Amino acid sequence: MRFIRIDPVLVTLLACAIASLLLLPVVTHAPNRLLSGRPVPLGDLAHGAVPLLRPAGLLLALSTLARANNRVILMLGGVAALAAIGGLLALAGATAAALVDPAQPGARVAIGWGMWGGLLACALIWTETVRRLVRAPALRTALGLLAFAPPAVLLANGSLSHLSLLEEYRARAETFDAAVLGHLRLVGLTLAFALPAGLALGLLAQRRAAWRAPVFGVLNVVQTIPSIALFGLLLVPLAGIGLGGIGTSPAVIALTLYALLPVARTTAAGLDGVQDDVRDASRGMGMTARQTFLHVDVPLALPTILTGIRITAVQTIGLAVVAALIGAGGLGAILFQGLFANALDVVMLAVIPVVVLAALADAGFAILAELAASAAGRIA
Amino acid sequence: MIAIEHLTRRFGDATAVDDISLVIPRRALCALIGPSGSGKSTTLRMINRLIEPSAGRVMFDGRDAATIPDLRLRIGYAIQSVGLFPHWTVARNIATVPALLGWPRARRDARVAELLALLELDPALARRYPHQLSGGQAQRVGVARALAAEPEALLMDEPFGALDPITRVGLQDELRRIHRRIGTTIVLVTHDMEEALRLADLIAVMRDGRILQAGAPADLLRAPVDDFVRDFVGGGEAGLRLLGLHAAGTLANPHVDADGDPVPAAATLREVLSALVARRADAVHVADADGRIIGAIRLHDIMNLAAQTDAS
Repeated sequence: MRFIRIDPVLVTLLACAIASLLLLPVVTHAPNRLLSGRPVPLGDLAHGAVPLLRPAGLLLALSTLARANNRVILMLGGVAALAAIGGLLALAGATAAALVDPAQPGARVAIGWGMWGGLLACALIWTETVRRLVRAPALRTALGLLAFAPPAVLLANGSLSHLSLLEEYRARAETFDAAVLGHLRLVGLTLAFALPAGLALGLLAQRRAAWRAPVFGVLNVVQTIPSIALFGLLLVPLAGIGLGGIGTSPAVIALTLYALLPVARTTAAGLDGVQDDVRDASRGMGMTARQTFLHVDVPLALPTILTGIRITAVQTIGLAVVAALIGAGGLGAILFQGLFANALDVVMLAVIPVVVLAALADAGFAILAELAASAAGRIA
Repeated sequence: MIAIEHLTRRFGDATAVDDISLVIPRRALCALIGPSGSGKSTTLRMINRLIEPSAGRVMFDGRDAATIPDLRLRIGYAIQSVGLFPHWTVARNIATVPALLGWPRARRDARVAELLALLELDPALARRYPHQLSGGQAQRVGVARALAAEPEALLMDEPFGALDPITRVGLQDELRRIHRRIGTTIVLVTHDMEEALRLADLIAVMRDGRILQAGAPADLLRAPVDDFVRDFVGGGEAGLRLLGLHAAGTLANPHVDADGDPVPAAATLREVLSALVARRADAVHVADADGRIIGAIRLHDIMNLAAQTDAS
């Protein structure tokens, strides 16, 4: 068949989704939160959402047969992936609502590994179709975030409120909100210190050849120290100077040390990318060193530097989880609580906002970098 | 007038430019020529003080360049790699120095339009970015940018070195035309003798940081001071290059007749000689810009001219 070709990427993702949903528990039910749940048999799942899932599945299957350039089929496949995300979650929510029993207030209905896998595969199908359909990087990034739209809608209208994840949230709503704010505070403080320092170090390394090797040598070594070890290493000296070995300050210091390398590295790389003849011309035409830096170096290096800041922000959001181990709070506090209690849903309660924050930061800086690049005229 | 007085530049132990002096008259086009490492680019970059001299000075109309605060804003600068700002449109690139000088918007725009016309660039290019230009277009924009603020002098460092031969000759003609029209003093660094002979009124031959000989092209061809200058300037065809300095119109004799198509009066005697050899003819007609025959040139007229110039 010359006009129908199986798309290897999409068919693999769809196969993963199906295998995950069929082979692993989709929804689990436990009499209380300490016991691990038993899979709810497929036949007992609430069927209210199935009419939505069936066409979505069919369209998804169809999209894997599309030739790579068939926009209509790709578009339908992408929409089907979003519908499948919503449908699967609605199915879990409805099942939880059906199984809830006032006589057993401790019972838990949770999203199983099978569904997590299916949701992830569907989200990847969505971003893949967007990648193929949309060329402009900023729009592409923004559309990719739409994978979060179906869960957001279902959360807002209460469809998911009987799921264990939401039960756990209600049990610690205030802690959760404080943890999200605490996490943002850690990340914000880290970037507030690391960006100016990293930019300055990158500039120093780029301008003074003698400084390049030592600056990047030290930063590279820092990067190789495992985060827990670095927190431990900072404990004693910081306690010695009265800052306290645990809490926010050592966490921010350690996170800042990690953040310096990507910022400094991309700052130097961005400035390296400015051609010498352009600098020579700007000086030759009478620009002062300051004018050359502001009008030539900065705008030309900015897209690269913003990429570095984006990497740094995403990295810091993830690393800040570990900071909970030294009492800095943040979402890590909830994560480790769940981990030590062997409560998967509590872990998920921390992981999901970390993923969402990282994705938002990634998209935000990607769009900024693209705006800077087009302002710099390289994308015309 | 640019007067270079005992200019020296040392880099560590090496002396790149060694006590050179040269007077470049107002409105002249001076070529600094020499092999790689002869110090010609260093000399050029000391004129606008991109490189500080170790000793000596450069005078602009009697004023020491070191005391002119906005020196580089008043001297145009064009280089082989052009160095256009990749993040700015062609129009903004051309208006770089006017913008630094604080010209109002309307005056800048008018100047950009004027320069695009002067360099025979399509006005639509104004909104393009440098990466959308061909090599020749980019170099024209580079020259336009250097001329933007009506500089008192224009410094060019191998401006046409990276272009293909046809584009290069086209731009050389353009530069000669522009120079005649605006009369700015130009200092041009090149290693291409044909380019220097085609463009310059004054050629300074450099080697090992010194000026071996400076003078009018014909003087260098007729009376080189040493073998190096003879070889470098003449390149084994000093006679032909000498003929290349004369236009056919100057030698056309109205009392002589010839066969075949006329050559244009603006052609050089070198081209006339080539035409005579190619046609196996003794004489060729010369026509003016309107195509009217103004006379003819005979082979022995060319020989006589060569003999006269040798004798002088």
